[in-house]
Amino acid sequence: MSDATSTFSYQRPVGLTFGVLIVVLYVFLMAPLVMIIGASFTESLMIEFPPKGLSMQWYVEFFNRQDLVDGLLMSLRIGAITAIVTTAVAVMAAMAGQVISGRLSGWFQLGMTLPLLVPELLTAVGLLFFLYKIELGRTVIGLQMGHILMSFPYAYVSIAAALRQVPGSLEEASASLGATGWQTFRLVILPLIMPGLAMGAIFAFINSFDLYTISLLLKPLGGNTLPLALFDFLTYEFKPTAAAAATLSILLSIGGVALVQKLVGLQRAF
Amino acid sequence: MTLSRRNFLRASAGTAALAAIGLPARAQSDTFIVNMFGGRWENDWRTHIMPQFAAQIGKDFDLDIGLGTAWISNFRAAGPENPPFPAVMLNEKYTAQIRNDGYFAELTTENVPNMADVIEPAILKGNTAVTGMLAPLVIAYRTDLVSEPPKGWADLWDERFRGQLGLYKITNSAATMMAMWAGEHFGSGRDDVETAVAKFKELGPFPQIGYSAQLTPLLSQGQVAVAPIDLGEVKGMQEAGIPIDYVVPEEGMLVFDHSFSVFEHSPDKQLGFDYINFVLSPEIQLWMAENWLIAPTNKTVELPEELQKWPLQPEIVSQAIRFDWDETLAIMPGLNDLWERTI
Repeated sequence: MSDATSTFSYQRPVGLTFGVLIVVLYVFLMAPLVMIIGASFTESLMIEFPPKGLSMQWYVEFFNRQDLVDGLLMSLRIGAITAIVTTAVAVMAAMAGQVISGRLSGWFQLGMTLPLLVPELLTAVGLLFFLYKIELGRTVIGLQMGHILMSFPYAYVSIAAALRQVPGSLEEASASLGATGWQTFRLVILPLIMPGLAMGAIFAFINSFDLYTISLLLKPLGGNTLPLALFDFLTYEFKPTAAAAATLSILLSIGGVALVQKLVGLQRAF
Repeated sequence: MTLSRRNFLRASAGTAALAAIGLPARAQSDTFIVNMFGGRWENDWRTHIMPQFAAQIGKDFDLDIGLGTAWISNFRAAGPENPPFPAVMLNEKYTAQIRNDGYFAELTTENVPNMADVIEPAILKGNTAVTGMLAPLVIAYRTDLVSEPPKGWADLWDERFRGQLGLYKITNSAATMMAMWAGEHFGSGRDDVETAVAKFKELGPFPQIGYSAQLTPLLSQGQVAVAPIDLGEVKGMQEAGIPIDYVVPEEGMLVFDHSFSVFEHSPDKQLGFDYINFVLSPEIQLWMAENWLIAPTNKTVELPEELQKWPLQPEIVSQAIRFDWDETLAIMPGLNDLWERTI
C-alpha cells in the first residue's frame, strides 16, 4: 500500500450525524479559501465572488508589482530562517523539559508557551523598545527575532509532544550499549521525533508567514513582509491582485503540508 | 522518499544558506530612505518621483512603506535623537502627536526655498511641518441612484439619503474631522462630542470603512450611493465608467493634510530639507495634481486646462475647513470612545 493511501487508513466509519458535522465543519473552514481563490480569477476590477469571467491578469499584475514580490520574498526568507532556528531551539527546550520533573515542569511548559499567552501587540511594543535599546530597531535581525519568538511555541508544543512518545528505556538501552549522549540523540531520538519536528517546523514557517502585528512594528527600513504589503495594497487599491497574492500564500501552505506528507507522513506528524 | 538525518541536515543547511543571501546590511548610509503610503502611492513614488530625487542627490533610494500609527510607534521607541530616516511624510494628525517633543527641525525659506511659494494654510503649526500633499475630501454620489444630490455636509442628514450612506471609521481622520464639524454645526462647538456622536447615530446603520479605497468598491457596486471620499477616488471611478459625480460641500470641503518634516537629529538633515524642497517644487506638485488629483500647495503651479474642472486651485483649497490638531488630539480619546460605544 502506498504512503498516500495509508495516511489515514486507521480511521473507522463514522455515523451519519457525525459525518454531516464534519462536512459542515469543512465547508466552514474551506469557504473563505474557495471565495478568495475564486475571486483571484475574476475579470472584474473588484474583488468579488463568484468571479466574473476567467482571467489570470491579477496573477500577472502580482508578479509585476515589485512591492508585492519583494514582500513575498522577504516573507519566504524570514519564514525559512524562523523555521530552522525555531525548530533547533525548540528541540533543545523540549529535551530540557523532559528532564524537569514535578511542579517545576508545569511552569516550564507554561514559560515555553508564553508568547502565545501575551497579546501579540504587547509583545511587539515591548520588543520594539527593547530592539531600539540594543540598536537593532528597524533591522532584519530585529524582525527575525520577533518572528522566532512568536513562532517558537508552535514548534515547541509539536516537538515536546513527539518527544514524550519516546520511551525513556530507549535512551537507557542506547547508553548501556556504549553510545554517547550525542549518538543517542542522533541515532535514536531524532529519527523518532522527526514527524513532530517536521510538523513544528512547518507550523513555525506558516505562523511566521502570516504574522502581521509584530511585523508592522518591527519591519526593517525599506522592507515589508507579504501580509504588510498586502494590507498596504488593500488600503489604497481594492483590487483582485490581493486575492491572487492570497491564493499564492494558500498554495505555499498546502505545499508545506504536502512536504510533511512526503517526508514523514501526515498520520505520524499529528 | 525517506527523510534521512543526512538529507535533513543538508536541506536545512542549504535553506539557511539561501535564506541568508540578500540580507541587507544593517547600516545603509548610502541609501536615502523616506516613508510613503502603500499601494499606488508607493508604486508611483518609487517609479516616477524618487528616481528624479535620487539622481539629484547622487544616492540610491528606498521607501519605508506603512501607516501613521506604526511610524509614530517607531519614532517614539527610537527617540528624537535616533530618527530612522531624514525626512518624514505624515498625516497632520500624526505630526501633531510628536511635533512638540523635539523631533523636528524648523523649516524656513533658507533651508527649504520653495516654502516661499506655498499657500499660507500649508505652513503648519510650529513651522516644523509643511503640507506637501493636500488631498481634497468631497461628497461623491451615484448619479443613477441619487436624483437630488447633496449640496453640503448637512444634507447627509436628509431623510432621502437614509440607508444610502457610507462613512469612515472614527480611526480615520476624515471621520474625526466630520465629527468635529458636526459638533460645531449642530452643537456648541468642535469639542461637543456628545452632540456629534448623537447626530451620526441618527444616520445609522451605515457601513464604516477604514480607508478611502475601501469605500470605492461600495460606491462602484452601488451598495452605498453617497459618501465622503478623496477626489482621486472619484476620478478613478469615473474613468472606470461608474456613474458617479461629486460636490464640493457648500460649507467647505475637508482635506487630508499630508505634511512633511525633517528630523532635527538626523545626520542627513540637509538631505531631508532638499527632499522637502523637491516635493514642494512646481514640477512635483503638478505631477501629483495630474496623477493623483492632489491639490498643489505651491502657488506657482499652473494647472492645465483639463484639471481646471477639479477643485484643486489654491483659492479653493485655501478655504477648506481646517482643524487645529493639537486641540483635536485632546478631544479624540473621548470622541473615539463614545463613537465606538454608540455607533
